[in-house]
Amino acid sequence: MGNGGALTEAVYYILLTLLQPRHGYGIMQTVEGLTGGRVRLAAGTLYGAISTMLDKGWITALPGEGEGRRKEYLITAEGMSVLREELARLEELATNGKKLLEERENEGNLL
Amino acid sequence: MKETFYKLFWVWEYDKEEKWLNEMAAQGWALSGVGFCRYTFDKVQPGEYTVRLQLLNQCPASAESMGYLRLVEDSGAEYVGRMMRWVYFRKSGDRDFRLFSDNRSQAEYLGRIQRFLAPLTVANLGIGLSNLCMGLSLPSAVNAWCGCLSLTVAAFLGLGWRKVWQKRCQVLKECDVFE
Repeated sequence: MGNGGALTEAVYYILLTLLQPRHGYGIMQTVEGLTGGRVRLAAGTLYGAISTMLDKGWITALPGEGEGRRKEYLITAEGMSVLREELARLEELATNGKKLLEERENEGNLL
Repeated sequence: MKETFYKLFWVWEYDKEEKWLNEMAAQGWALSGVGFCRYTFDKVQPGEYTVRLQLLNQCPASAESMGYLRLVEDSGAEYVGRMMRWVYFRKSGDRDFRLFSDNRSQAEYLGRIQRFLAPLTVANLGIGLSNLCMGLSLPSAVNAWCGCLSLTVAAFLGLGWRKVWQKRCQVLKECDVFE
C-alpha cells in the first residue's frame, strides 16, 4: 500500500498502463501515446521503477515469456489500490487548483 | 569505413569519455565497438548519432542486465559493447536520447556511480599507505614508489567521487521542486 505520499509521474503511468499485460517497450509506447509525446520514459528510469514496483508487490511479472522472449508485467490488487488512492489525490489537487483560481478570477484579480 | 582510436580514460572520467564520444559522433564518427583503451568508429553522417554510456547494477551477462539491454534496444538504440560493468549505446536521429528521464532516477544512478568509486578509492588508499609504510622500513624504494602511485590514484578517484557527489546534490536539490 502507498505511504500516503505522491507517486512519481513515471510510477503512476506505469501502473495505469499495466491494467493490461505489457512488456517494457509496450509501457514506453503507451505512455508516450497517452500523453501526446510529453512523457517519454527513458529505459533506465523505466527499468528501475519496474524493479522497485516488483519488490513492493504493486506489479507482477507474468509467468512464461511474451513475444520475443520479453517479460510481461501486470498490475496486482495492491497496485490497484495504490493507483486508486493516487487518482483521488490527483483529483483533490485539480479540484483545489481550479476552485482557488476561479475564486480569484471572480474577485476580478486578473494576473 | 571504420577507424580505430586508442585513448585512455580513467574510470572517474566517464563524463569526459561520453562527451568525447559525442564529439566524435558530431564529426561523423559513430562508436561501433569498445575494448580496453580502444574505440572503433563507423563513418556516418555528422550529428546522426548520440552516444550514452552507463554503469550497470550487475554484470552485463546477468539475466537482469540482459532484460535491460533488450529494453534499450527495443527503444531504438543499439548496444555497442561493454567494458566490465560499463555498457555503451548509440542511437540514430534522436539528439534527446537519454537513459534517465527524471531527476529522481538520475540521482539514484549517480549514487550508484558513487558506490562504485568509493571502494576503489578506499582500496587504493589502503594499499598505498601500507606500501608506503613498508617502503620506508625497507632498503629498496620499490614499495615506497608503488605506495605513492596508489595514493595518487586514490586521490584522483576521491576527486572523481566528489564531482559525482556534487552533481548528485544539484540533482537532489532540483528534486525538491521537480521530480
